[in-house]
Amino acid sequence: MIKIRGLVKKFETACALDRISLDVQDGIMFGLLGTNGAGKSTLLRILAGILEPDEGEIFIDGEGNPADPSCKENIFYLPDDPYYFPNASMDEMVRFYSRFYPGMDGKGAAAMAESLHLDMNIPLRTFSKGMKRQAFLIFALCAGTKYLLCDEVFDGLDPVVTEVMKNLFRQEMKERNFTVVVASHKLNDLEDLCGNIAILHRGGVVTAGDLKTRGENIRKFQFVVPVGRDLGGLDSCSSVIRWQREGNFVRLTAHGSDKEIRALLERYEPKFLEEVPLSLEEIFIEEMEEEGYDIRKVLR
Amino acid sequence: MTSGKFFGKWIREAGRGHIAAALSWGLLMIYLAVTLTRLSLDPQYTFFGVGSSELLWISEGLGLALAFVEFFYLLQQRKQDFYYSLPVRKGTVFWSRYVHGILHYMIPLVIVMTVCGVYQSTVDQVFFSEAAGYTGKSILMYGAVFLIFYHAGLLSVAVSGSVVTAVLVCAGILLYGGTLSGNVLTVFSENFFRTYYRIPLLEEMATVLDPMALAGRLTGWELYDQREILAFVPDVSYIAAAVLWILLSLCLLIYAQKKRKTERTGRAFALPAGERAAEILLAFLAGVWLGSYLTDLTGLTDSPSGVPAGAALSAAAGVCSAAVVHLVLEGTAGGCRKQAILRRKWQMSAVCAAVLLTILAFPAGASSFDRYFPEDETEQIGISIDGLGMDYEQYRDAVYETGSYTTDQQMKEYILADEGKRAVLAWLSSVVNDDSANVNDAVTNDAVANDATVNDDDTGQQENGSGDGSYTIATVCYRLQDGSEKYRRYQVSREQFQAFSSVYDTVEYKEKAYPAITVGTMADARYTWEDGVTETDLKLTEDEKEALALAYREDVEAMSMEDLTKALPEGFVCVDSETGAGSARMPVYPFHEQTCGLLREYGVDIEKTIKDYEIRSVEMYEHYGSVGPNISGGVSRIICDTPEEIEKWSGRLFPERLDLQPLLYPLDHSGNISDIRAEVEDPRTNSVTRVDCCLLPE
Repeated sequence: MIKIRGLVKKFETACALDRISLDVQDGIMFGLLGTNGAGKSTLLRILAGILEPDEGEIFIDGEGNPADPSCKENIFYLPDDPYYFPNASMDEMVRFYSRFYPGMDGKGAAAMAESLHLDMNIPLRTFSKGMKRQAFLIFALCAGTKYLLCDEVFDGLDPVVTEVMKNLFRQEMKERNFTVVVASHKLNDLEDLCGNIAILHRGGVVTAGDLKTRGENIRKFQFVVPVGRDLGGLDSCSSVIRWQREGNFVRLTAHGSDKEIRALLERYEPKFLEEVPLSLEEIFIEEMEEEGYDIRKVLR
Repeated sequence: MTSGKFFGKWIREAGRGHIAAALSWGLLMIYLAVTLTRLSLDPQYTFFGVGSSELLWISEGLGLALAFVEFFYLLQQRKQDFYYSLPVRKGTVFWSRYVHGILHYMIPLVIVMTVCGVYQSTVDQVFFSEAAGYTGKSILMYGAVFLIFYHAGLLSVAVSGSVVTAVLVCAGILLYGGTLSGNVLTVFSENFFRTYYRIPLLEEMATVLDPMALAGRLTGWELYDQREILAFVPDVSYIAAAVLWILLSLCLLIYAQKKRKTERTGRAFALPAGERAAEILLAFLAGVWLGSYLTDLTGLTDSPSGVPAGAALSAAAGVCSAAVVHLVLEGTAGGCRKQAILRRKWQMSAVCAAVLLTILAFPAGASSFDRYFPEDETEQIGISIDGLGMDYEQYRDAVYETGSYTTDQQMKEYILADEGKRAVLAWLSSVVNDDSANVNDAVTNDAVANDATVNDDDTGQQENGSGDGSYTIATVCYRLQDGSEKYRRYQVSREQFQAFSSVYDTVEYKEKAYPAITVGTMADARYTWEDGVTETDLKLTEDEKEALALAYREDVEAMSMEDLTKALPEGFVCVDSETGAGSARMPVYPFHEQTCGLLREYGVDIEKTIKDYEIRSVEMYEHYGSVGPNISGGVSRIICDTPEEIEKWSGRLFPERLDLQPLLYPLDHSGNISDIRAEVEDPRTNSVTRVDCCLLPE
């Protein structure tokens, strides 16, 4: 488990991380969401032992120093543009990593590469961007570390490669119990992978947790009301988060159970009423607006 | 145990430094091949270790190149993140690469030196006995040179966050000390100290603070003779300086490695203290450099009355320059934001104050420097007076080249420790006191005084027109009891020059001026008479040689400096030992009565001069000034070969080799005529000899 308490990191006058506190439970995929400059990469680089925090503490499985080699042995850091030796092939990189990560599964890496049609013996420099990302994801997944820190791994990839990589994650998560922290500035990249997501904004954590669970009490309905029906009463209703009317067609988001909300809406004699599923983004928006943030700016 | 495990893993990764390996092994193996070839051709003048400037350049270059290659990751965030994310300590990455770089130089160096040493031992018997010592010394010295440059390069990379900064910092480390001592402090000394000639401490500073100069001293790069090179041991002060360079830079490196901020990679400096140090040093150097440049350029300090103005201008310009450089650097580092530019006001003030104090220290200390006269502490004294005991060419060199070879050489030859020293100190006492009394009226610049005695319009006997009474220059080296040396240069008036006879007439001084009187009789030596045109062998018995040596000694001891103003030399008796016991040259003057008498007895026509030979032609060059619009003048070659022309010139020709006292008995070097060469027929061999001549006064 990763515990972060009061983490501060300043670059000259700019505060990249401002007293961040987070818990990342074992065996989950944890998303770090935020705009460019929000502090995601800084947080990951501190967790990987690359940077040192100015203040605060990090405990990884109770160990207080992420820069210690014995601690780093359990962490694989995958940046957005990973470095590789100029003429190294995948095979050479696997051999290199296996010196540092005892759990490195060379055969597994070869099998994954074969399944993705990647040649283990040709230099990585000849690979396309997507192929390189896949190759490094293979290294990361096969390193056998307990923690995997990924920074913008899906950025700039086409949907097919993105899906392939997500499948690799899912497959590996099924096979072994490890923790992944994925940073991205796009919610789309995270919503189908991560149950727990933390939003970072200007160095601080805006919100964090299993938002799908938290979103279970928020529902979205769409309905059609008779012509001229006044819906002003919805504004005074505390359970209603927002509603929007276009002619006779109304969309509404509100707290409460299906039954409670339907009971509320029946008062307006809808000709048609149905519940529509909420996307993670909508859950975020609702959550954030409740906490006073204009989430559209955060996610822009 | 854990650290050991991770270090073991890392050291294998460090072996990936193929570029470093290829560079180092490749260069040294090429050097080995070339050196072995040269040794096979010429073992006497080929030096594979100490004395090899090629190996010096290779060691310096590899030191810098390996430092940059091995530690380039510190300047690349991507690569740095990669290394630092691995389960290895940052320190392990750093120090394993440090060791890796050293091994990649030292191992091939030891191999190359050993192979060359073994090979030269087989082909060079002289070298054989010195092989082990020479090879060992070479490995140590070039190893030290490598470490100095390796550490300098490494320190540059460790404090920097970008390649450009690293290169600039490296250049700064290599050039700063030499520039400060050689181009700033020396220039201030030259301009503010009226009696400045040399300051050994500054020269030492220029060497020990300049890694390239220090490396040259450590490896004997200026030596060419095999015996000297084989026996070469660097001066202890240079070894100490090298050790200090290595250790100090290592300490700074340890500090930089610990305090370096990973997140500052990509910025100018990765170490905040490095940024501050660079700012301070650069602003200070800019200040004092501009100050010294302006002092030298304006020449205000040439006249004593201009010293305050020169000092004020220099100080003001220096302070402004330091402030501007500080602000520019702050602006560059802080992205031109006003807050950033003005964030270190106290630092700027401190640097400006340091510049001001440094510049003003020179005019403030000038009086103390110029009045320095260590009469009681002087153990030996070396003296050289421009134009005394040197021929005309040497005189010109001494006048026009400050710190010339001629002056230095004469000061080394004329080292006095006994009665000569006492006489010189007594004479100097009057010169220094007189000089000090007129300190505000004297002219600082040597050239003004010297122009009076060596120029085209002067016979060398006139004093300069500035009215300060300066006639020539005396350069003195005080060798003190503590082993240190202090140099001073004094302007000497005509009266003071004449008063130097009190020194000249001492036996100790004459032994230096006429070393032939100390050589004694060399029975096996070849004696010749040289009259400036031809040489004649003297067939002398051992007794005759002894008599000649004794007569010459007595003549020299009896002569006075004043005698030299009355006559020119008749020629030289040259003594050349066949067994290498030595050689000597005895200038013979007409007032050397005993010597002249003996030479006449031995059949030498000592009165024979160039005009007594058959002159075939006289060739000379005439310089002329502007002769018309857009014609600036030039040189014309004149050949006089008609009997009338030869007759006209022959009476004034005098062999240049015998022009020995340009101040005491000046010949005519004025006018437009120069480079006079006479073609003289030697009747004994029926050959023609070309004789460089000058003109006797009309």
